[in-house]
Amino acid sequence: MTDHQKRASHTRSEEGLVLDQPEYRIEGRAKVTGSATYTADVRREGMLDVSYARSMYPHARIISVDTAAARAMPGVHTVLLGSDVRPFCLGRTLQDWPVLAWDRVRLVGDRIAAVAADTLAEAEAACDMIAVEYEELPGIFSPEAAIAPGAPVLHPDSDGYRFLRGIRHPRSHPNMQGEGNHEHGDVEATFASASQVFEHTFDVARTIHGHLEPHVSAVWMEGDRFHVCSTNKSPFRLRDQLAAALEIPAERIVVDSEYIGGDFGGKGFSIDEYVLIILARTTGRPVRYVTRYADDIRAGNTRHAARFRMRTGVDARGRIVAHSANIVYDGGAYAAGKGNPALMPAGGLSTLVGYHLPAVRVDAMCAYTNNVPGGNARAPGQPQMSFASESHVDLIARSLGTDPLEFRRMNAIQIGDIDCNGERWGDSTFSAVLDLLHHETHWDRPPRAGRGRGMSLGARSSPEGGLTSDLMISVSAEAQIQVLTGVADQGGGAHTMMQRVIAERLGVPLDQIEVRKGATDVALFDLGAGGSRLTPVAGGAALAGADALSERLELLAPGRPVLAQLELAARSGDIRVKGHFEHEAGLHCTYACSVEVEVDRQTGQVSVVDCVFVADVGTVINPLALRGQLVGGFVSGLGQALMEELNVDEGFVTTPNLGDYKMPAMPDIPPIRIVLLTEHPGGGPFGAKSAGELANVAVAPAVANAVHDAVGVRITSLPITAEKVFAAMTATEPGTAN
Amino acid sequence: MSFEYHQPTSVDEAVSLLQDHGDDAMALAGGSAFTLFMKLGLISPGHVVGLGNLEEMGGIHLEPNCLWIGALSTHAEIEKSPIVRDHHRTIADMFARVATVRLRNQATLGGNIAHADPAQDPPPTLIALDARAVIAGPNGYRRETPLDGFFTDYFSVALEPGELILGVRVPLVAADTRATYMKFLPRSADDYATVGVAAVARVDHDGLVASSRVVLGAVGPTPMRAKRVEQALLGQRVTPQLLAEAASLVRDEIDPIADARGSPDYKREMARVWTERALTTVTA
Amino acid sequence: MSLHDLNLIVNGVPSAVVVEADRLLIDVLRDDFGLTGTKEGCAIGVCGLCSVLVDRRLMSACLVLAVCVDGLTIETIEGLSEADGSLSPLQESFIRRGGFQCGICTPGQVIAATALLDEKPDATEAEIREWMTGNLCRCTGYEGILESIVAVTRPNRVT
Repeated sequence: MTDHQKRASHTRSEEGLVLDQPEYRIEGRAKVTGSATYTADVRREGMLDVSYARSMYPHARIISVDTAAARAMPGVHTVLLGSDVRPFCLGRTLQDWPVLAWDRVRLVGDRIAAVAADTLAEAEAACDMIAVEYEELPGIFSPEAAIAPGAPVLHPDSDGYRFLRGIRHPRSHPNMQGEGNHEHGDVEATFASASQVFEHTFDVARTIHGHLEPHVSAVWMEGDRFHVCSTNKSPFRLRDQLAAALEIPAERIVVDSEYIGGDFGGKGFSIDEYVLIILARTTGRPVRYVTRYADDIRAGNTRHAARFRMRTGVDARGRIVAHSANIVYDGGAYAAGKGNPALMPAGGLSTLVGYHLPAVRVDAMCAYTNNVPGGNARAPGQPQMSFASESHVDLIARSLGTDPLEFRRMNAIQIGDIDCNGERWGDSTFSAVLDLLHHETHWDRPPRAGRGRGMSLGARSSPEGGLTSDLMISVSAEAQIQVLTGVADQGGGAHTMMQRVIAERLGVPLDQIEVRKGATDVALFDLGAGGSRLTPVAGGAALAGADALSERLELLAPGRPVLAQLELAARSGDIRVKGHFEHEAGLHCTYACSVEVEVDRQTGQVSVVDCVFVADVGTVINPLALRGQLVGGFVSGLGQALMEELNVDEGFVTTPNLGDYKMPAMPDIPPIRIVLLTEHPGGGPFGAKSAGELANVAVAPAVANAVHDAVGVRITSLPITAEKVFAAMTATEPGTAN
Repeated sequence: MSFEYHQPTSVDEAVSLLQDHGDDAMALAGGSAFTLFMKLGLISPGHVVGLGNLEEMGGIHLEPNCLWIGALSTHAEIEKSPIVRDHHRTIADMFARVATVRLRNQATLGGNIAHADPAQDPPPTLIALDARAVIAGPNGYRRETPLDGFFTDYFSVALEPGELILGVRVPLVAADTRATYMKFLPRSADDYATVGVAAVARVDHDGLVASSRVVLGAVGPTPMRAKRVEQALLGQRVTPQLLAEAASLVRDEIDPIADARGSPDYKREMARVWTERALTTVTA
Repeated sequence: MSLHDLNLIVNGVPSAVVVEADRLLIDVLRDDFGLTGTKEGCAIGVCGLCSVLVDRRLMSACLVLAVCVDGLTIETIEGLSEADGSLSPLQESFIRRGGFQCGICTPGQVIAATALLDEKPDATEAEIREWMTGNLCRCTGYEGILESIVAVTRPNRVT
């Protein structure tokens, strides 16, 4: 245990252990009664609604835009064109997405003009009257086509784009968004010395986040300040991106959040606030944009489609000695949604996560295409990599005649081993997690007749990035402990988590603690949800704040019971402390997963009939929220495994609605047993670890492995549809399974 | 969208309105398909004729030798009707599995037929049970026509301008007639069928197929009746081999398109599999 | 465009409202009545966010023309708490058993479950799953929602 972990160890409170009781969400009453406000519920006097004229082509030059008829339509206050706002481009890291296109469109659904009108119907009617003359250009619909000789350059002016995180890496081709590679060890020599070398290729389809609330934003002015209310879960980052793009001081933009209706990595990036700021300034009115769900699907940010070429060498004992991978990501029309400087999914190079890899070479590229832009998603890049990696590992184990769990046990990272990124791990809980899986699944017993079983393992940094958090705590005149945080609630329960951490630490009743979310002008900076950082990092800030308050109260009234101290503090009137926390780097959380399936041999339909998910979560702060994150993540992983695929055909999304793009519904859910490993504390409050992005990563390869176990066919692309299984089964000799 | 909404109080008034405004008018029952198409920009009538007040289009009751289901009956009403459950259990069970509870409370039988979405569940079952549409026309005219052949293309039925579907008559069947509707849902339970099969058969006491009907949904521009499958069964002794061979004929009776639910080849193969399963059920 | 005088009983309160023929019930509820508890998601009646009760029958407010519900009783999530403002047993159950996370689908889930328990107070788990098919949730994975509802079926209710 590190010093920090020892410091973070559990402190019994006098009241009994808060953490032993399930949480009662602070916002529970509001959410079950419909009184919880979401961004689309915000109404302000004189508010105008906005609609866009959007591109009908995946790639075209804009010859002319005629708005005369639109401007004359009833209810219209203003029409904004790309030519009015050029060259404003936006993005989280690379600002390459025009707020409104002025020269060319690169995406079906690209924004061309914005209309602000008294009602949404009037705004939409006016948009229908905007006449755009296009010159169609040849489109690029795959990464391979993007770098083929003679490919049109989609972003000829890319040297002029603002890059918010230092200097952009040089690229080998103008249609590249990002490229990267990693190498450690002597890859050539190790492959040469390997006893056997295995090669497999895997494909993963594009999927959407599936948050049921679309992107919504509203802007109004007070004085010379712009007030932004947005579904963006990183309000401070949004403020800074807006300020950079508009070239105004950040203090002139105040960003606030209502409850956010789901994020899943999709609401760290948003576009419309830029347009709304300009419209608010032009019209002098509050303005709002509620994205049409179909537009959110086809012109938002999705998870990246990807292809993995995997190559791994093992020695005579079955130990992995060398691994190389070539990864191609379809980055879509704009890189703007990506939050990391490499401009590919955040975990972009980390294949075979969780294994000891003495020699590794990974090359990855993320290309511009005229497809839907790729952004962040829940565990960015990881479900794709996990599918490739854990399918690849399973095939290797099968070829060697080794039990899949034993093969993984033999190769999983132990303390001191080197991972895919060349980092040496100071912690590893794989042994414990695999032991638990073995036990919970009765692994030595084969599954029932007619069933197949498959497993996967993996790990994440706990947390992934965003290691610092700050909040403020004060004592009110009523002796309430008031927490002021900049963290927006996207559903994970962070505010309740903070309340519980503080109650546990100080030994005060839960209702003595209020948690308020503040806008960017009053709260301290916080990055917001992402990388599963809120419980370990923002929770750590809550703990630090509790300790700072405790010290302050001790100075005020040494030795008194805390409730008495609070009474005195209330009367003194000016107790305000900061909770600052820096989470240590280099910690990990691990998981192992097993699923059992039955396959209808006549149709290929895969039914998942049992699931066990073992998660190394450290100390549990919010048991209901944790269960929700793990089961919810598992179910979204199940969707990606079996049914989710955003079809894009020559740039056109053919499934831009939830009737055709299916996500799991309640009857689709198999029994899911969550097994928690809590004995290995992490760096968060009381030893909490990250958990939110563990489960969705695990499922698809476990299902592919189970299908192989059941009917002897290997599906190497997602989703694992009945049709693919059927085709694979009938391609082998009818009636036999290998 | 901008339209005049009319609320006629009689069928004749409704028919007159539809006739008067011709192509610029649409009839509105539950409204679920209407609002959907309106939002997608696929329809823009200047006149909408609301049918909600028309009693002649309501009701579920027994007539001599047949079941009357009024066009305004919702899916949920049909699903729960004791009369339907007693006399045509398959119809009730089929309606019970359409979409979601919400849709079943809003969408009507008449609206479903007139909308003529080939992926929807009710038409194959109704055709397989030899249901007939009762149609009102101008000047008090009434006609009855089999639903078999009534669906002419995607979202098209054989209704003349100004005509309205009043309801459906489904002949009662002999006790030894078996019926089933099966829908293949390989993705989510909440989905259109990849293929739907309605099968009705009567096997006589010698074990020979006296009659059968096989109708498929979601595999063509309309519900597809598999007559060659029916012909292959007629008068034959029921054996697994007979059913398998007959079912294999379905491949050429349908015309599926590629979409999010599968390729044409896969749908043809699944039509075969599920026809065989449906036939097995109704001849067991 | 024709205008229509509607008489609706919304959460027990008789109300008169004038609407254009093409207005959807969800927009009348949210914009004219200020009842923003009913949410809009997919806009095509699939996700269940806009679930309301029309004459006690569960429907998608985003697919219902307001003119079609003239004279009818509409219940939204705002109408479900007890008269004294306390939570219904179902609502309390949702909080205690992890029936929500982000909460955007919660009004629809609670309305749908209320309708279910009205019709089938002894609903089995299988019946609950089937009834709730059309209420999507991307956060919870449904387990918490299912448990919240099971706990208040008649056999399980603590008296």
